[in-house]
Amino acid sequence: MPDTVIELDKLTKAYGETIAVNELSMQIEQGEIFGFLGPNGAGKTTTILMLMGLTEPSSGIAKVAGYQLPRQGIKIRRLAGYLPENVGFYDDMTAYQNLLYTARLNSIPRGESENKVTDVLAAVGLKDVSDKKVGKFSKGMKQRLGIADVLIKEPSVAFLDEPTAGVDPEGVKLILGLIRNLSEEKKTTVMLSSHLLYQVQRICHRVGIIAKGRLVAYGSIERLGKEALKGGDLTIEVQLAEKSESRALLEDLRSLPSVKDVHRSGSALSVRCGEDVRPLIAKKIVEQGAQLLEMKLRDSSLEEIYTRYFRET
Amino acid sequence: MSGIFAIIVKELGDHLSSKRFTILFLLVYLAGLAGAYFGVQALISDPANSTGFSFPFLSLMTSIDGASPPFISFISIFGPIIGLALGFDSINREIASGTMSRLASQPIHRDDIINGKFLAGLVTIALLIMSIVLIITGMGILGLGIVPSLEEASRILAFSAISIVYISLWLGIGILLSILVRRTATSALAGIALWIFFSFIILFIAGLVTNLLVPMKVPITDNDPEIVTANDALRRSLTRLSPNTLFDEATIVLMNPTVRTLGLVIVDRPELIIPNPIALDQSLTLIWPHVTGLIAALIITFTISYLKFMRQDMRPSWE
Ligand SMILES: Nc1ncnc2c1ncn2[C@@H]1O[C@H](COP(=O)(O)OP(=O)(O)OP(=O)(O)O)[C@@H](O)[C@H]1O
Ligand SMILES: [Mg+2]
Repeated sequence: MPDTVIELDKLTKAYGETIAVNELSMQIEQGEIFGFLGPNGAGKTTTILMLMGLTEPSSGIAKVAGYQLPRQGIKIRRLAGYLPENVGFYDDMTAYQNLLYTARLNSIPRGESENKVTDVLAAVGLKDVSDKKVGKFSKGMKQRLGIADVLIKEPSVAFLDEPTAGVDPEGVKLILGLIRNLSEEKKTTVMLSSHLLYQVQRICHRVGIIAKGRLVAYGSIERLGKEALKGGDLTIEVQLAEKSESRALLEDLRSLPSVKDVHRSGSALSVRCGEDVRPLIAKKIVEQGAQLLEMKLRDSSLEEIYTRYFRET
Repeated sequence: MSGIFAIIVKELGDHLSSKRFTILFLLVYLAGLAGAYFGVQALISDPANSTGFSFPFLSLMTSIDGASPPFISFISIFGPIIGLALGFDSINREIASGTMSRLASQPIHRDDIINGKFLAGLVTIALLIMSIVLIITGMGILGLGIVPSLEEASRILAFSAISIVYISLWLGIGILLSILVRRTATSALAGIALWIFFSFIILFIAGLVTNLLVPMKVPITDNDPEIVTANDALRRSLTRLSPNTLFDEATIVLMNPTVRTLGLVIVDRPELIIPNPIALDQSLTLIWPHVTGLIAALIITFTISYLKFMRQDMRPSWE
């Protein structure tokens, strides 16, 4: 029975007339990687700020590891790490000095902290520039340093606000790998926000999609995909050998049950239908003496999620 | 506990290694050393000099017969700039550069951040003032070949303490501005505006208001003495709304033991003027309201900072 580590109940934050977060309720279990997705201005950052005790909720309840916010904020900050969006460091200090300061603020003993700083810098691939002033770092290097800044706390909960923003593909792979490690090896609960669904879906166990401050979808990617598809149509793509298609074949396919439309472009057909009728299509093609090269169901679940929840705002 | 200690250590390191501190340090040392040098010269060439005679070490910081302004006036004018320079960007710069949200997400209380920054500034100010005062005294010992009396040493110590409180008040004002104003350039400008207001403009305003409420005839001798006293009392109370006036009056009493009243001295009643110096405890009684006034102003400034800062969102950056 997994423990609930992060718990929101009708959490709300209003800035005057604007309601940035609107009655958000959800639970995140220990060791889970939870993707918190939504377009710009949806309320992702505001939610994370409330969970770290950096801004006060207007109403509702937020709990992290059993501690209630904002009252027990300091207890939460002792065990939770936070990577802010657009993370900043002291420009005139080196990467090493910046992390050492974080270690001091977390009361990590002097003897341990120096080794730890070296280790986390190596883990994020910044070992060679550890004595360089952070003012000379690129955006992506700062982002990696931000991850190191979270790792040094050895947090049991991590809030990562757009951890991959501004990072090159190599860096994205590295950061996603580190996040997965945290969850698998250290059983750290990770809540990461992003508007790049494609990028983070690989490592997220579950996602929550927020738009205009409201949670519009919540669950595993597969489930959300199925839900998004419910009532929608499937598209089957058929590739025939050159010149083997015929008017008769098109007519035949159109007459199949649940098929709504057949499009032809050259020797490629695309069949829009209510359910998966691939066996029937294959049979018709063979009956008409055409040559089938390839046939596949277009995997549109992610796209569906994206358009359905992101674009509707 | 260890959190605030880490903040103090870092901030102190930042201050002491900054160009800003180097400039302040040079200016304060230049003013202090020049005053002491000319003061020593004046005492050597004219040992019977009336102010320097009984309190030579005090005269090193107050004499106006040198080529430089006395050190106490320098601190009065320049002290606010020292305090503001150490505080005006302490919070808004961290917010703009995105370090504040990281700092605030560490296991520290939010007030540790402003307390730590304030204490680091306070230590910096104390180091600056105590070191220059010791050096001036040292120059006196070497130049004059005598040591300060206990009375003088106590007065110099009290002056140092009041200077530290005064400059810390302006440090507190600087920190408050850095919380209220987003851009560091704007908070610097606002600080300078306040400095000009409390150093100069308040004197004009006090004069204007006083003459409106208690008008006086020209020439001054045509007035009833009561009117003159009332006019003076009102003007003084109004200017005492400025910390700079409080500091000026307090240091004048402390560093000139012959000053026995801060009110108007009626020239045609000579029995009120006694040339003998008063004892330290009498001077302290005279300036006690000034000291408490400065401390109260510091507490009020700090309370506003605290309330504003505690309620602020720790957003990664302002926009
Ligand atoms: N200090 C503030 N005052 C008023 N409104 C604010 C304030 N901060 C944020 N908001 C509003 O709250 C809403 C949510 O903002 P938030 O930063 O949480 O969005 P987000 O999901 O993190 O967006 P992004 O992807 O751009 O980072 C936005 O509409 C924003 O305008
Ligand atoms: Mg955001």
